[in-house]
Amino acid sequence: MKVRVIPTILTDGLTVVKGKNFDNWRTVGSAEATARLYANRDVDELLFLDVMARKHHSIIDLNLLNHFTSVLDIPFSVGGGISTLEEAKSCFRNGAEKIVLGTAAVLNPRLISQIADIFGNQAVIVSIDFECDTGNRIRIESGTTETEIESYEFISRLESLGAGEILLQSIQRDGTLSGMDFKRISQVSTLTRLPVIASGGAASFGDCLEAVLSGAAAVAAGALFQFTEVTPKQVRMYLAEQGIGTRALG
Amino acid sequence: MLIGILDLGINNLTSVQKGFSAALESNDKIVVIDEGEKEERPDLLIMPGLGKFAAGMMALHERNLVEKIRIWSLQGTKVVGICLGMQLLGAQSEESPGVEGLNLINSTVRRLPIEVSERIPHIGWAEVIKSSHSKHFPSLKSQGDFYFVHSFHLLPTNETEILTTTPFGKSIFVSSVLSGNILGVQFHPEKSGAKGKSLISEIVQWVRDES
Repeated sequence: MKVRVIPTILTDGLTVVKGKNFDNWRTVGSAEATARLYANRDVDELLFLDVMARKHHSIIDLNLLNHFTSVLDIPFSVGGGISTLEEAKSCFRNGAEKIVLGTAAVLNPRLISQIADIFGNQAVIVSIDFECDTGNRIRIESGTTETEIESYEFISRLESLGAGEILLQSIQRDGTLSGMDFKRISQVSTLTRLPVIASGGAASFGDCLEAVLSGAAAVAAGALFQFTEVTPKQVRMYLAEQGIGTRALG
Repeated sequence: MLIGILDLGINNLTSVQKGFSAALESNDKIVVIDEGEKEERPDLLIMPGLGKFAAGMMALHERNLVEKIRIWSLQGTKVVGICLGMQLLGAQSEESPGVEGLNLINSTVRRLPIEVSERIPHIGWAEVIKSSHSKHFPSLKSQGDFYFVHSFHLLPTNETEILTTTPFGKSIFVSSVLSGNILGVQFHPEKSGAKGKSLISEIVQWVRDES
């Protein structure tokens, strides 16, 4: 397996935003320009999350999605506010390779199966958002609501529900460049056979390597690529030097 | 040249359309095919892929396309299946037992094997290793990975139809097949950056050379 390095682009529908702990959003640029920039830099894959969609009871703006598709010749996943099969369908129709379900997957796990039955398991990423390094209850609604659901029990059911990938996010470390929750990455990667995308807190080459050694099939990062000199390609080269399989360019 | 892209209502049409548009010459034309009856026979038919085998076949049946595609392929249309589109070229799939495929390539669709070092679905970049002497598609022989996202793979009965294989843990799977005028690729050329772009041009060139 070759691991993937995935820049996360958070958007409020029009612009790229940057937050901390799933909150304190501020605008940092144009979403389309950011996508174009990454596409020209041979990144492995992109992850677009609309952080305002659920609040506005909508999904990512489909025009924006279309713009992404028209500038990208690499795979990308889309998330934020997707609650119905129809909404998932529009994302696929507009070029998304995979969709990310968060709140909706937790409140209505059947939705995972409904989407997977048509689009296949590989098209459904379920996002698991942790509040802190010790808490085991899943949080939803961008981290604002804690559920009664025990995360490990839920994670172990995801494969049979039809999920194809798990996006493991740490709310506390989100946007902080404070290092990743390796213990959690390792526990979850052992618990499931599905690929795990580790996200939240990556601050260095070393963090990305340790996430992979902890079992992650992919590392996603926002702040690392937006606010430091580190590029996804450098991370990939670093991982390759450490003996980890990564994408070979032509 | 007339290029038809199948619209099954479940696939990611936009990126495939965009990928092929870039490789066209001035008198080439792309049409989206979502119904079998009224369509003119294309020189090249693209079957993009995303979805379950059963959902894909059902979508083809609903659109009266199953017989149409078989007839077109007999009349010389080059058929290119991408990802699920490749799997639909097979006779049947372990993903949807009892559902008959297009059966354009003598083959079955199997689940990826369990491998310690791999996770399923197989998602990400991987190399393809050319095993046939086909003079077409030189980019399948050059350095650089393609993007995969799948849990199943097509296994042709006739080994000489295997174009490339891809390592998967300690085993391998068939990542592309060529059987006469039928080409199947398990990866997504339309999502494989510059490398995918080259392969798309080579596919268009293959059709141009032979029609």
